[in-house]
Amino acid sequence: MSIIKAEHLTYSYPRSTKPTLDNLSFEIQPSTVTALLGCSGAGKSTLLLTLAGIIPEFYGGSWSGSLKVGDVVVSAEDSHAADVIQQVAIVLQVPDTQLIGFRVEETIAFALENQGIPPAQIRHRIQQVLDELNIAHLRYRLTSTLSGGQKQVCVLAAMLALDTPIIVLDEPTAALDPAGKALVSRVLERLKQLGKTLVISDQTLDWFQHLIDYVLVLAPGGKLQFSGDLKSFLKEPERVCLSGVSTPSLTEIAYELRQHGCQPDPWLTLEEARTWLKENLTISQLSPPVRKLSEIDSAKYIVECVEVTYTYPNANVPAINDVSFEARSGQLIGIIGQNGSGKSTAIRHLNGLLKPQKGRVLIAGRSVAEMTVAQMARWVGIVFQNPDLMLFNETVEQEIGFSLNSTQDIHWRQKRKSYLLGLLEQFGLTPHLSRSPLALSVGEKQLLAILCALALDPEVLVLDEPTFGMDRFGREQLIRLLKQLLQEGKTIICVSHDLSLLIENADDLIVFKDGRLVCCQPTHELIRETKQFEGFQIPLPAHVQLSNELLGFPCLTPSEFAQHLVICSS
Amino acid sequence: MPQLFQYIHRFSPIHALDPRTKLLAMVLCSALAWYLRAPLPLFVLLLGLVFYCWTGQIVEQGIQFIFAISPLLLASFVMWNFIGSHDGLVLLDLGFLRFTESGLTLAIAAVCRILIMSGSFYALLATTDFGSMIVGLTQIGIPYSLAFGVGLSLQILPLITQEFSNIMDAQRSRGQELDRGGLFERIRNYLAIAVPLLLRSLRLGQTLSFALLTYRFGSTSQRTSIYELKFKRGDYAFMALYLVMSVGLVLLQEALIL
Repeated sequence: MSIIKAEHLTYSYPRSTKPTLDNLSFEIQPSTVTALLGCSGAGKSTLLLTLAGIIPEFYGGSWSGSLKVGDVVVSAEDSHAADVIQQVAIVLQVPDTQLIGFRVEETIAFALENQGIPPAQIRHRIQQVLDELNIAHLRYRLTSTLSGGQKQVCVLAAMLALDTPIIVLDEPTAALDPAGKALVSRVLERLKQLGKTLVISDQTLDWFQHLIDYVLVLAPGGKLQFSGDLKSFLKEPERVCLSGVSTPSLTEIAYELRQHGCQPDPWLTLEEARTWLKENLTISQLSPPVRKLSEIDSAKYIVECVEVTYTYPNANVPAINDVSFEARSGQLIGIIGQNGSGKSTAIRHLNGLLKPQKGRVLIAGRSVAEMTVAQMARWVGIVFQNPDLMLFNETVEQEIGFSLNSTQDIHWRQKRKSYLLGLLEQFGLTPHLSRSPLALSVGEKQLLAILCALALDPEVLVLDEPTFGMDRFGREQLIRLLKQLLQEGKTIICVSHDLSLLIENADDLIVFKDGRLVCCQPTHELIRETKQFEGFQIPLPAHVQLSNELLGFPCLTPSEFAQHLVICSS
Repeated sequence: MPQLFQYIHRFSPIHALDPRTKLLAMVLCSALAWYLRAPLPLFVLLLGLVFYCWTGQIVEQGIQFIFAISPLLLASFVMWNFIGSHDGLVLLDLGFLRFTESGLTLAIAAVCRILIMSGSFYALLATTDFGSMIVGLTQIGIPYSLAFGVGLSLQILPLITQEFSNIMDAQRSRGQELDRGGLFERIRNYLAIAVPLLLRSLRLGQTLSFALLTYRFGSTSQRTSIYELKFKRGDYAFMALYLVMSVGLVLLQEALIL
């Protein structure tokens, strides 16, 4: 018998002319993990809030059809919000906003205290939950000292303490580094073993596809596009593409092999893929492909960071220590590392937001220390992880023109504006010119923020987690834009946890660990050592791991790996 | 930006005190600062506060706090010299501003008073964590929802400060010079900070509401707590010390008046 059942569920927000959820009918069985997928704006978060009893109670709006959550039936006549909330716990994207309490123990206790449970029972329940999730060592830790992953696990523990049969999670790892993702994934596995029903919305499947029993895909407009098991979902490339979710690396290899006459089912784990490949293909080690050294190697350095050290006020250890790297015109440099490893501190030195306490930073030969941040905007454009921090004008057009107003040269201003409008046209944003920037999708906002940073025609573009919250369409647009900018000779420095994006596009990769730059090498050389990346706690994408293992050299894309497999087995 | 009004975790005798003891000390300090007039007892009271910070291992943060409020202290010092008493020995005459002995005494007393009142509040927040602060407030009869509101505000203040700093960085990185131009232009410049900050704060508020709903906040009036506050020997010793100091300072003040 299903634990969640929707029948013709339709919901519209107040003052909205179109429904956000449109005639949804599906069932979810108890003790299963359901992946809720769909492109940006398809209604995933709305559906999660509905399952958690927050919609329609909290927002109002119009509702039709019915939704059964546990034993409670929600209908237009009675939302039964209080009863639904007893059945469902919700985990939000950013754990900081859900950590009520100073210590881990307090956060877990909070909901139990609110229900009037006697203190002795609460203490027992806290210990039980911590033991169940193997995080008893965190009990007395201050929440402010936890890593991103530990914070999210602390929230999960608090939700587990509520002992609801259902837990819904809204992109729970979007703000986490690779180590945090791995930790959350392990904890979710444990919750599944404990018999919880999990509904997880996300834009990527790689980190939790081994847990998924059931997939729900929402199409734009909130209609149900697909419901079924994961293998059936992954079988059809078209379906995966339409869902807006990035195709998992293993699945992409399978699709590529199909084009060469093989018939593998999409694998869900590395082990499955390894076994199939060894059983069905004769794989011999090949000599690695010769990677062309691009012309940029002869170009002059545009970014020079020399032995930079910076310690924040009140900190005992430097955030970055003796960091040196360079970048040339037309080059894309990827920066990776766990949260707190010094990546953001390093890039804040590139436009003078932070001034080095030791060492120097030069952009096109000029010392950053001698200019103001506003002056540096003509040389270095930085786009932060959250575009909402940048966008504030009433319309997209005003937003684009805003930075240009700082220059007096009308001719140059007009030239730049027409260039930027051309880019807007190219990336399909022209229809939104008179709309508020805040009404755009995550991907569109991020593209707009990049165009705003390009307004003053900087030589260097620095991106901090540009794919945060983006669906596959936004990501594809972003890659297209980056390639175009590189061709125009811009230097791009990109900080990201999206290792596939960097491996495919970055010329060099820089790895930060504990405030130090531990590696800086051409991408294809650095990713040769799977073990080294395990040491960084950054898992390499499946195609890179498999190509290192089976072919003896790394492939940069699943497609390249599949082609080499076909060559060597034929 | 220094993280003002934020709890600083230390294993100190002050941190181990019952929050009610610290609340009482803060109230006592503020009342004495209001009552005492002469600089000497105020200065002794200030030394008491310094002792509190030293024992609580927050001297470094205390200095940062003084630095942060230094414009207020300076303005107060100048103002009291300017509008205060001009009787007594003239120490310095700048024409428009005359520093006299009695004016200087008033100014020093005013600066001490501001330091004690704001500093004792700061010292309380810096040495008392969110959870025990709420329990302490409820134990002295403040309704839980109000006490929780105060505690939560103190907890989210650093998040909003961080957002403010991030927005400033993002706008400056776009070439925005916030202090450029005349008044109208400056107001417009600061819209680039105000609009995103407002929207982000609203979003934060909404997310917190969801979180509280999930945590069953307000589901029963019989709320319990894992904290069980009990006055210990240290609390009694601390309260006795503060009471003795308070009586001593009042007597000293009276003696100075006579």
